[in-house]
Amino acid sequence: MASVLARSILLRQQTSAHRIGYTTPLKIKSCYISYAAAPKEKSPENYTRYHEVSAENWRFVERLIPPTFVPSYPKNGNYSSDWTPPADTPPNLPYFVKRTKNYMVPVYLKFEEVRNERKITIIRHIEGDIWVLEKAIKSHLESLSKRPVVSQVHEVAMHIKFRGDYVNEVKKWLLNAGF
Amino acid sequence: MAGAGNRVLAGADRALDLLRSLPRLSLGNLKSNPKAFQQSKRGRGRYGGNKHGAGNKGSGQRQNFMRLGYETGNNPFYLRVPKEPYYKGHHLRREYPPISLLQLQTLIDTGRLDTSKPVDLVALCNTKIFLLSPIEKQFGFQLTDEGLDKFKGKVNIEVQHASEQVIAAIERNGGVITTAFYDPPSLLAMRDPIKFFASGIPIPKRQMPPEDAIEYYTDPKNRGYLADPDLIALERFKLAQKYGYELPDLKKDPELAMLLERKDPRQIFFGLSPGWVINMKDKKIFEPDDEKLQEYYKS
Repeated sequence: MASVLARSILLRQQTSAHRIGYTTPLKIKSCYISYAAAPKEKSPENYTRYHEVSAENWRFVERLIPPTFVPSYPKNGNYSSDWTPPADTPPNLPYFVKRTKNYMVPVYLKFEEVRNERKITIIRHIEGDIWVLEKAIKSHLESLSKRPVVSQVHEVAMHIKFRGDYVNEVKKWLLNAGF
Repeated sequence: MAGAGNRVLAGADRALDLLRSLPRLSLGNLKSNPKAFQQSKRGRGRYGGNKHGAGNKGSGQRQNFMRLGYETGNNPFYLRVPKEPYYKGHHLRREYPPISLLQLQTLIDTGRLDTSKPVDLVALCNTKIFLLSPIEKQFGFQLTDEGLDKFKGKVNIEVQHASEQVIAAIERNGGVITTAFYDPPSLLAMRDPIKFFASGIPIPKRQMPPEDAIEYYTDPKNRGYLADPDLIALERFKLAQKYGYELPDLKKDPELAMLLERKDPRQIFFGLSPGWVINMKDKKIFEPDDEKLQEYYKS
């Protein structure tokens, strides 16, 4: 790159010199090293010789390749964590809560700044009659906490918000309902 | 003048016709009148020039402001408060992001982790749920004791830090745990091995832990990777006695070969030696012949 630039400058200088009448060529010597102009590879004797390792070891490389999609969960029925898979047949209810792509219940804790920071429990991926679901969960939470629970229903985005941290309670309720 | 054609228009008709062909006025092409916003120039001379907004006298007018923190002779705030050395040496500290036993069990339940093979940092990063950032001085994962009673998985796991209770929870189920150190260049290769292999760089040689971590990783109580295996076996027995559980016999285990799989202290990937170059496209592995390089990569 730099050498090309230098050559073009030299050429331009020469042509202008010819036009004026000078015959002495102007030499521009580049006294710097450019990364772009440097040769990318050295000659082979600068590198080590190598040999191929047996193909038997390739299985260890295959172990390191991550899956390109979310793997499906094992259907053996032994789930010792809080997580359980959704019921095979959806429950006969006017509403439905879809699992996320990672097979998780879509209940999240959000921190919303209104006048001060508030903890908001949000349920997403709702289908069907959102108002019935809101009434059912709200009455459940109120019976648990023995105090009124403030809720907000968004019919367009199809999500419900509850003021306060009820994530574990709501998750448990939804899992028990078979979602 | 699209509509003009052969007709001769005059006056308002002509103006309206012009308007029809012109672009509509919208928020996109609104522009203020020329010279609508013109800054008044700073006046100079006998009557025009005054203070020019710099105020009268003092540091404001002369632009010689006091240095930051100077309180005109008071004991300044930055010296009044005593030092709080909570973050002393934070640039040297190693961070180990936590993974709880409940999270690990959830990974197993949802089929994200294959427990038929040893679980190490690469397997945890390959779930794409836990990300490691070695550039932020994260040196690997620590296993925490949340969900300790619910943990039922039998795993051969390698983490960078684990408490005594966590070790007991893993070994109670017939699993094996090792704590191992990785230096940042190794971690950069391990967090995304496929991307690393594509760069054409040979697999790095794992460096020994720093001075303040050697004690941890040589201690059989922590199941350190530099500890004596015989002493680890003894400590496994002692821990089972302490927490009162029956230690499952590893020798009778059908998955014994998997449970005994360990890395060399200089190795970062199972089955792959440092110095090897992986060609993902042709599915080939190359090893250097140079004696000096072989000497360097030797463990």
